[in-house]
Amino acid sequence: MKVGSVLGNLSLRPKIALILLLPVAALLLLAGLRIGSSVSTSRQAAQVRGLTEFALRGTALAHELQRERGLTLGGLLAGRRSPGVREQRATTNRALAAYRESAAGLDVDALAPAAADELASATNRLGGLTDLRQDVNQGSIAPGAALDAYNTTIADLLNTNRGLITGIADPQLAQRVGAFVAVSRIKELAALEREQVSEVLDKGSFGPGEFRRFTSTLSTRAVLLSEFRAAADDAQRATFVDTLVGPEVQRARELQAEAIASEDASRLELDPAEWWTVNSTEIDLLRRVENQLGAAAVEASRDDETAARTRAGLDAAAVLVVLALAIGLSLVVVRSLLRPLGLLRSSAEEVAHSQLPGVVERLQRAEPVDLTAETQPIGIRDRDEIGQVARAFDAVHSTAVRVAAEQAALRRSVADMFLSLGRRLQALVHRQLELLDELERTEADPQQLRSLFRLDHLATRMRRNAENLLVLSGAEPVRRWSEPVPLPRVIRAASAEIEDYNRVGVMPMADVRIVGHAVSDVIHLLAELIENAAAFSPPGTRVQVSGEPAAHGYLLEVEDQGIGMSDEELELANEQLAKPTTIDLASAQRLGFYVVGRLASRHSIKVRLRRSWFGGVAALVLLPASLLGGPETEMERAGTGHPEVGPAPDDPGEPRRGAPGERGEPVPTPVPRAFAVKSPGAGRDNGMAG
Amino acid sequence: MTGRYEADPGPFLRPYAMTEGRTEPTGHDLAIEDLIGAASATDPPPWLSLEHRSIALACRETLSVAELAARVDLPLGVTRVLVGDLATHGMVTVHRAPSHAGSPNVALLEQVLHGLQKL
Repeated sequence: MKVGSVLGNLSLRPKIALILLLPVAALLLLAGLRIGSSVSTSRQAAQVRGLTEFALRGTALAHELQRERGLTLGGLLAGRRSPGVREQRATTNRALAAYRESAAGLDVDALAPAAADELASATNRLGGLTDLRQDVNQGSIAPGAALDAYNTTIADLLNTNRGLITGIADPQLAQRVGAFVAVSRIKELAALEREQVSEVLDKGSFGPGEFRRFTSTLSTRAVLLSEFRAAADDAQRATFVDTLVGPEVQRARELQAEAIASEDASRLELDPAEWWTVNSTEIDLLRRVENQLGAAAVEASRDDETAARTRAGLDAAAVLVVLALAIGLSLVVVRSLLRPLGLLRSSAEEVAHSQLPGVVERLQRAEPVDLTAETQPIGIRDRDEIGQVARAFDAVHSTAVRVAAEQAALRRSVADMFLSLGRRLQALVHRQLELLDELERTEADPQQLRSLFRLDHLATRMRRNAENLLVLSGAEPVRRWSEPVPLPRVIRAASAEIEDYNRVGVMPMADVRIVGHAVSDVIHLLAELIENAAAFSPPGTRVQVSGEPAAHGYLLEVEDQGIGMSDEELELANEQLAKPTTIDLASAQRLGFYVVGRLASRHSIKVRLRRSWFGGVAALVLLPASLLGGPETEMERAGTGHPEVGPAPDDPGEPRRGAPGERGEPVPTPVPRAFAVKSPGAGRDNGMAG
Repeated sequence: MTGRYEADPGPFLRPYAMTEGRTEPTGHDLAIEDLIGAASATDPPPWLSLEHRSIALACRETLSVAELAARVDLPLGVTRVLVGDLATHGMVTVHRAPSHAGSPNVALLEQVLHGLQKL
């Protein structure tokens, strides 16, 4: 399954990242939503605060306009400008500037359509204030009209405020702003009353419709007051009630009642100055209430804004903390997984690549090996799955070491068996050869001698195979010679040990001798190579042995005209020859190379196979200088001129006095062939070739 | 460790290798009582095999084939073949024993016996 293989090839860190992917994504999504909403709430709260502050500025402006209205009216009625109008107009202008500044910061599109309309209307009318004042200055406007102009402007301002309430989501804040707006409207109505009656007092009595206008104002004011009382909370009501106290308020009630009672009177019997003063006082008190409620509303809106911003900040912080914790935790977990895994892997690799092969090698060389020291457990003490794997690996490791030790012991015992068999075999063959020597010594009949020669040849080959067994078991050679032997004679002895010894041709060679202790092994080694060459080439073809001096020794070459070997076979054989450490008993040919390799390594002889020019194989044998004795000295030559007479002493380790050849001169071959007839079969015992 | 397992019997070259498998002399019909003498007094050439050389040197004294075999400590048949080789190359001369074709000469037989006993 493709997903499974993809997952399997993924490293641990990305895997854990994958596990966290979905939860972290969900967390980020939800956090984002929440933070988004917190931010939006915070922004709304800021907007509301702005609106609230704007409403405050609006009422401040309305207040100044109310005063201006009053003073303007007074001036118009008196026919001259009232003192203080100019200052009042300046104050109004400052309030107007502040209002406009606040208005500029408003997001008009966020307002409800009704509020937006009112705002536009108010802005419009405020724009006409300068002209209005002009008209008033020039006296080109009637008091009533002037009053109306101011009224509508102030009404627009206050109505805008009322429209703002609908945009406030927080009910508590909306209530506060609502209370504030209600009080400001009540105040306006109170101011209107004052103006209206002042106007009437100037004329003397209510004109047509003026009384109704007055009572309408009164009743509206009463309605607003009761609405306020109903909607206000205790604190707000208390503020209202506690502020609107005092003799002036009382007096204002009384004068109001008198005015109401004077509908049909020909003259309104009220002192204009007193009317103006007490009503102004009440209006100022209302202004105080308005300010308090307004300040409370603004403060509440600021609190809302701060709270919303704080919440947004906390949300973001909480999300970040959780994320950091999640990532931190995952990193810790990943590290706690990766560290023991890394340790496990490196320990396993070390065991597999260096430690175990080292143990095997030492066991093969029969060196002592402390098994418990070699199977130290990996240093992972965890109890989780990784620790269990480590334990399992330790078990495998110790099993491997134990198996290797058993194998080594087995190999040793097999080698011992080879040795024992080999020696037994060798002893028997030695007795055979002794017997044959005796028989051959006195046999005169050529036919009989031929049979004896055949037996002798067989026994000689048997002897070599017995010695192969000894080599396999690692035993030292048995036959030793005390004096060096000429190399051509060594080669001849080697040729004699193979089946088709007459196929071997030896080229003329230099005057070198092989030291006594190595002669036996060199004969054996050459015999194996020559036999291999003869066995793998057609009968009738020659196996040629030649030699030449080399840089640090003497180089022999055994060449055949056989089918040759492939590159792989050559490589394998050369490996076996160079490092005969393991016995591969797959084929007899391999066995031969193994024996050659062992014999060669004993004496630092280098053997290598290569392709020969004739298509067959050439075996190169480099005999090191340490195996070479020099040419025979004059003294030795003189001393061996005459062969010894009589039977030789049977001295083990000393060469038997068979041929006087041990101390003979080096003889260049192929002298024997010079004495022989070349044609195969003529004068030669063909039985020897079999 | 010594003992019969360690001793190596026999000569450096096996007898059949000395003659390359031949059991009869080439080109000559030699009897074991034929007398062999060196052809010249000079040293045998150095390129002779050790066995040939030993026989050639021993021939300075005229001996029968059987005596020669005993003297150089080589098997009888091998000696016969190698003497044949030397004769072919003119290094030795062969004196046929008088009773070669007929019945054995008692004196010759005695001589042979004597030689054999020396082995």
